[in-house]
Amino acid sequence: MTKDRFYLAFAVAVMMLYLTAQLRGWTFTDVDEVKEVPRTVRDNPGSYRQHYAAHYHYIGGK
Amino acid sequence: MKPPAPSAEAPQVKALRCTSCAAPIELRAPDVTERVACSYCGSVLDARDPELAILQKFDRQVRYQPLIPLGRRGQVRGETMEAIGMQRRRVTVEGVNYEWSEYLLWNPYKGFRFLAEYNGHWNYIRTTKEQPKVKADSSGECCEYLGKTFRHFQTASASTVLVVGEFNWEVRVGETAKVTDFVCPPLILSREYLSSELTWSLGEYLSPESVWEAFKLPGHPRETTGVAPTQPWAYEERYQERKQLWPLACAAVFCLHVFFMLIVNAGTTAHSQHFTVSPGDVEKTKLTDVFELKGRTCDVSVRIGTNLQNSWAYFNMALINEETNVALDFGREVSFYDGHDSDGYWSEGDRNDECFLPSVPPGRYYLLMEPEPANVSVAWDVSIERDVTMHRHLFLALIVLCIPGFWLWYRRRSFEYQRWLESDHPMEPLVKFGGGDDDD
Repeated sequence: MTKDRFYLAFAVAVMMLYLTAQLRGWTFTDVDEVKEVPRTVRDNPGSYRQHYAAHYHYIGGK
Repeated sequence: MKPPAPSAEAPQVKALRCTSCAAPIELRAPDVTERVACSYCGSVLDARDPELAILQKFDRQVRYQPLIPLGRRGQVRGETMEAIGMQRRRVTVEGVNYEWSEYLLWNPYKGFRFLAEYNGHWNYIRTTKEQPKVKADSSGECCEYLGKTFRHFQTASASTVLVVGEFNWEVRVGETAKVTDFVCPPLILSREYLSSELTWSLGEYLSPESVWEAFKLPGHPRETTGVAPTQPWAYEERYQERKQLWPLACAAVFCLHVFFMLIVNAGTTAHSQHFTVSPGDVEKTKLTDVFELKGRTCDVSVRIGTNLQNSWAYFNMALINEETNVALDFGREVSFYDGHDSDGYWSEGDRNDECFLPSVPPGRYYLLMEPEPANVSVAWDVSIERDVTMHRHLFLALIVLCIPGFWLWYRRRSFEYQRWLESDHPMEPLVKFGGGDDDD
């Protein structure tokens, strides 16, 4: 049995974290959860107001 | 240096008093002692001479209190040894003096040993039975002995500056020997040329606490300074173990990732649809048909493929659960530019984009999309896929697994840098600050 128990425990913890992230579907995308979206959005989609404000407009190209 | 055979007639010392200052002198190994130095006046006397002829005399009183009192016995490496003499030696390198103490230890059955002390570090030294093999390598000389390779550490001229007690060779204050050290921590091989005599010695690092305990010295040993040439690194074993564990851990994570990719998170397309929007459209916000995300809570991939050409579009999106009315709001920007210039064809950006939504529970959903700016004309395909394997997690896990090993590597390298700092082969520092010539 290895004497480097710290790294063994560390590696196991990293693997458990990896497993959890894959199984639970953790990602890095920035999303905002909005509750109680009105059902009328399906009939009038333009009425939905985005709560996601953390975006910027990029104008690229040469 | 072999202990000389007892002579047929032991020398008769008539007066056990210093011939120079009349201080009492005690000979602990009269059969083998050749020189004795008075601990009061420092005079070096011929122990073979019954009259204790003065060989060297000093004008000033020299008093030096050895750390191990002469005559003290101790158990070192299973051998009971008695400290009978001590010499201070000095090398001068680039104008800087480095001094250390060497204690001569004696056991009538085991012979002679040395204990060398430098900056609080100790080495237990004995002369070798065989001559080590000296070879040349890329960094100079190296030695092979006892199946180990010893690297050249330093070559210098060591002079004796002070002697106290008894010695089994014709020691003189001021005598100079050419000393070459080779190290394989915790061992050291020393080659010494003194007059016409060549001596090889093998030393082993001893902790200061073990020396104090061996000789039952009072108090605590003094703090060590720097890293000794033979000082073993306290975490060497852990470092070697970690070097073996790290690739196993990485392989395990990689296998887990492949397992996820092929079996668990194989990826299922839940819905795909095509949309277009023009500047003249009254309603630019588009909705997909309702689709179902089956199974467990997992990540969801939203992929957009556009026909943008030298333009950009920002998609305000919301994945809305039809049953719970909970929405996940997010935004993605897509841009693509290309052209020709003097260097040829160039392009920037991508017409396609993919993002991953975290932990989406199963249910019936639709995706709302509103492209900006208002005057954009764009067609796009949107594809929603669930249970997608995140490759980024694998890279992150591998990087995190490297951190403890890298930390130990850095500590080890710093330790070795300190070890070799005073040698003839100092290591390059990892990071150099400053440098460059000043312009006057």
